[in-house]
Amino acid sequence: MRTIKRGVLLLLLSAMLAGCSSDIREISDIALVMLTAIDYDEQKQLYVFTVNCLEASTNTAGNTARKPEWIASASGPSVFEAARNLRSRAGKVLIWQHDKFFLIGESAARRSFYEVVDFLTRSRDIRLSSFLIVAQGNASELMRTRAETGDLLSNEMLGKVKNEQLWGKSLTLAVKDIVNEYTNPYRGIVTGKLSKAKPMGGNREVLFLSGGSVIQQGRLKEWLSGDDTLSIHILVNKKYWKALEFAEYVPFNDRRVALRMRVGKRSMSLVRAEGKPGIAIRIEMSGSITSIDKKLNLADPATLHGVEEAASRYMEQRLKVSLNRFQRELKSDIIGFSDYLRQHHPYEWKRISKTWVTDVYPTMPIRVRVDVAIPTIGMSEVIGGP
Amino acid sequence: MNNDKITPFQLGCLCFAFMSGFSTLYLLEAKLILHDVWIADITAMLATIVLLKLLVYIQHQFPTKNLSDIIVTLLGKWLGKSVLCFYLIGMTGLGILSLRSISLFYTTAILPNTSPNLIMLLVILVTTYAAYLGLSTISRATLMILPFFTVAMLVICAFIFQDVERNPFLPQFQHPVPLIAYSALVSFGFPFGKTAVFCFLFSETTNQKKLSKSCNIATVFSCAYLLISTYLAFGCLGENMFKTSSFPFFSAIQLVKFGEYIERIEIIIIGIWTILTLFEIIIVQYAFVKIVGRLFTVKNLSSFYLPVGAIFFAVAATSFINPAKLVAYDLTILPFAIIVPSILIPLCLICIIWFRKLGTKTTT
Amino acid sequence: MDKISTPLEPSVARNVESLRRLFANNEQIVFHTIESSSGIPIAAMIYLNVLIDMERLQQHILPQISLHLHAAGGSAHSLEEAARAQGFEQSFGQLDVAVRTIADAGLVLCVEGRSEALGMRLPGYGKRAVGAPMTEVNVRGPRAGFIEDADTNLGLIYRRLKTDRLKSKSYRIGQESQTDVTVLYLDNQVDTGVLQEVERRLTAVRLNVVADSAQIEEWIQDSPYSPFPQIQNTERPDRVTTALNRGKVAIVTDGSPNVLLVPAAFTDFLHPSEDLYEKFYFANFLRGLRLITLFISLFLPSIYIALSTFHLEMIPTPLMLTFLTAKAGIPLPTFLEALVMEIAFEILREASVRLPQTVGQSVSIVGALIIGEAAVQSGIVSRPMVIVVALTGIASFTIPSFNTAITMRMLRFPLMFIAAWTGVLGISLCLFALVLHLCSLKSFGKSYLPTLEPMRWRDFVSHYILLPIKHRKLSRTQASPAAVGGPKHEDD
Repeated sequence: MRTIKRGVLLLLLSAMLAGCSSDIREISDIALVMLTAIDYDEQKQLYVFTVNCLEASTNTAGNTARKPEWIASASGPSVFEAARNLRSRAGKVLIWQHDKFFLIGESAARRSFYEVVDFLTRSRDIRLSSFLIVAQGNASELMRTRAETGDLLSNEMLGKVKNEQLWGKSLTLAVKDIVNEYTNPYRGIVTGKLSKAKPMGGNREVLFLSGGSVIQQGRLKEWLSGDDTLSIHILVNKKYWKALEFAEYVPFNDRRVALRMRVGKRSMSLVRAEGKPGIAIRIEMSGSITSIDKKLNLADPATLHGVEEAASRYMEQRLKVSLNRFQRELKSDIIGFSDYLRQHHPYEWKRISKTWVTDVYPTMPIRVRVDVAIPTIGMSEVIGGP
Repeated sequence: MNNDKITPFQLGCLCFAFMSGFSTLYLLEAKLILHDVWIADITAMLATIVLLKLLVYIQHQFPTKNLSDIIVTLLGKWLGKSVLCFYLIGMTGLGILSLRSISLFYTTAILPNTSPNLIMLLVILVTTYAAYLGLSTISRATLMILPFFTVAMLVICAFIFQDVERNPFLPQFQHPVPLIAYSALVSFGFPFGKTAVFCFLFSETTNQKKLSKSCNIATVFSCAYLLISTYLAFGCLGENMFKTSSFPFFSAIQLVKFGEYIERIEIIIIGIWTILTLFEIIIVQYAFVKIVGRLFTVKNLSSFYLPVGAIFFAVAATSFINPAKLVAYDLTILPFAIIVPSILIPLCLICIIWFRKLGTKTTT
Repeated sequence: MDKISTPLEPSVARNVESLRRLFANNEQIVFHTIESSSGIPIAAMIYLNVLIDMERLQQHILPQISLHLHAAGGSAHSLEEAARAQGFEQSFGQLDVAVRTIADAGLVLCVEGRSEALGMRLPGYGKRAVGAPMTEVNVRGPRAGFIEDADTNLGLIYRRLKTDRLKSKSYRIGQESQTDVTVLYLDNQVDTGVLQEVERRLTAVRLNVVADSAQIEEWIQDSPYSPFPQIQNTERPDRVTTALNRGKVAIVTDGSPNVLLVPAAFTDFLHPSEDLYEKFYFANFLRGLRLITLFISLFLPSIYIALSTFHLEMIPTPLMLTFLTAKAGIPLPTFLEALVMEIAFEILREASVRLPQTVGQSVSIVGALIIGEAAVQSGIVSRPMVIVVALTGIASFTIPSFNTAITMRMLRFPLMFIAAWTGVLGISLCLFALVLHLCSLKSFGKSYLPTLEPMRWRDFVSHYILLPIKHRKLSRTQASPAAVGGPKHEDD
């Protein structure tokens, strides 16, 4: 009997308390934030916080096709306050858990990247796997651009990020990776860059996710061209080049061969050159031929080998140019050589870490060796002939 | 309520659950020395195994007696009882630490607006019920829960492993020995040293010969679990993020994605993990009541469980209100506080046993 | 009963008198006087005319007796002889035994000058024919099911176990109903501890009237306050024989088509007997499926509540967008919505059970399709909630044991409360408390929830997984099958 009494008591207690939690958020009361843009107004010294929300209006119940997008901005002296000031205009409770994109305006990225990222990591609502993209110019303006396909802007952005690995000239990092690296004094990081331009044959400006933005010492340092971003994409971490595919147009004798390239393996090692520590990078790539501009007998092993050689040298050259730019112009270790040295050659690293940024890195010899293999030549082959 | 004895295998599972419940929550020792944490963990594990050997040895000298009886027999009535009281204080500390940790975790990561007291109350209700049901039921429940936990963790670990690119434990041996020793102590203090409490259950197993083996296996497994989760969390989050994250392993789990859209499955994992954490509180509560029973020589203990739960709750509700204090306690006080009950007292007991043996030898 | 424990007397008239007194105000009692050829009443036959086989009595027994009586000269001795030849095998000297015999569809014959009466059972009340079981429906396997008559039921079991090792012991339970309760077991398989426990508990039953085996079940189970059924009941003789072979004890109650099987494990309630008749791959697939449905029927609504009110981040974004539209304009909070729908579902279920089968079906169609759709259309409940509730309901129907299914349905409500209160924390604490409770339960001294230790590996596995028949313990005999007609032992 005692058990029953206790059980009933507990049941009644829980029945009374059910729904009393202050952590409850009913789906009918929320608006999903799908994109967030954070800008900094230099003159007023205020953060401008813009969100792209989805909410279900009561009128369209049962109609799943149309979801109203709501874009609103508010400003405040801190990011959080700006976000809270937005509530004065929001009709529903804003939920960040489904937000996959954070656009940081150029001004905010240059001035106070640290605070913005810190804001993102402290809040438990924000997904660490969401993407952080730096916007060229004003982020909120970019966000107000209508999606080209008429789909939700967030869906379109997600597609763009997914497509990065199919062309390589853009690289967007997740908040997690940025948080891990942005305070590292020895290296820089590259994340996506969002810009606005008129496309070919279009008369309305649309968004482009192309190129990269270099962040070092907790602020935006420089923009990166698409080609350099591709080099980063090839060199940086396995998880980025693992599924990467990119196009190259390789000169071979007087012809040009178009290749679809993939990275198979990449390794780094410490070498000494002229008494200085240097890095040797070895990359194995595989290519498949997509087109040739003139007739070429690829079925001939010697020719194919020649193409492979040419592609290897071409890629080496290409990467070297980029690396040179990173070393001499940017002076930013965006590949992460410092991490490699620190992990695998800790004693060497201890010796050079003090002067790494100023002296060692910009003058460090870097050797790149690329081996391109062409295992398939496609559906057409020519036997015989020159 | 039944007082059946448990098998060594059950004891081993219980021991694993007891040690591994909270071990991956903060990963404090890993935050201290990063790459060299495995040295600290393995040292702490070895120390635990040695400690267990000692305790099992003591138990084998008195096969039918509980550790509390042994202490009283060896140290005399009043000294023994005061040592037991000391253990009680230590256990209260462990209990409230666990309670506070779980409520801190929930209020930070999942239910930010819920009162920590409410969470602790619910937890203590369930653990009191479990302790009341007796050791046999508890260990059988462990056997039910552990397979689910293992499968869930293995799946999650496999998914996190895809994100780990470089070996996070490199470079090795970059920290000074005193720091490594200190973190070994932290590691011993937080997940491993609790085993001293566990010895109060030794007398309740069916086959005491296998005690040592099953406990050692449990310790090795929980160390493996700790190392794997440290490795994965460290490798997945990266060094800086690992250091800044309050609950690194759970941050790593948050990042697991099944496909493009199924994310944040940590909620499910947390559900199972929460159950595992309860075992620590349950065992502590159970042992606490046993010792109280020994202190007052009471036979029927069933009416003690609720008051003991209430004491735990009351103490927990008033201590460590500031989360920083909790972490500071784990980091600075606990590693040293654990030495007395987990190392010194067993050593003392062993010495007394030896002296006695010597004494009996010389007299004969 | 002490009031009538008086001995019978040699005088028929006095015996009849005392029986008349006991059966006063009873229209069904018949006192049939048998006279000698000289017309002197020398015996009386007493019976309840609704219980006995009147046709046999009037066409065979009475004519035979009178024939014999007249042939032998009408002495009391010859009457007795004639009666014995007709099947009056019991003889007793106590009035209360006579009363019991009469009440238990028997004939009592009091003979002049004898202080011992003769008795025989001649049941002639109506009973159902052995037919297919109503609740445990199988695709494959025997179609016979128990009926309300214990003798028929015992016959069904004995027919399937042709061995001398099948033992039985009968009890009379119920002060007024005097119900026959028979305990059956195979003496080489049964655990004597369990058997003694069954005996102890059955003798301790204090019931006035036993209407069904359910009352006995409730009386003898280990933890009467636990919501979980701890004694298995079945309508299938094949299931009983399998269980007996596995060392269980069967309790057959007269008047109930449900035979009780003890000790029961939780998993027994999840496996229908059909599992044994299917290929083990398929049977194991179904077992897995049923474990999942068990989980769904218990936890799905609470998980839905927890996810959609506390842990919105776990819902995949595209699904979230759909939910957003689906939930727009729903006036009820999710928890109340779930509660309303669950209660509505229970109402529908109850209605379709109580109504005749044909009407019941239309109720469920009207309820499920029309009301459900209308509720969604009018914006009272959201579509996802309808899916969740329907799935939960259907999942609970896959659990073969009705009482387990109803336990799951009942436990769902407190879980929903707690989920609406503390989200996943509450759910996991409840799950743990439930596991603890199940682990603490015992059925006749045996663990209710099979866990690995202290059980042996193989026993543990066989509770959850159906092994191929050659590896199944207790399904093989050591010796090769005996030739037809020879003795056959159900060895290990």
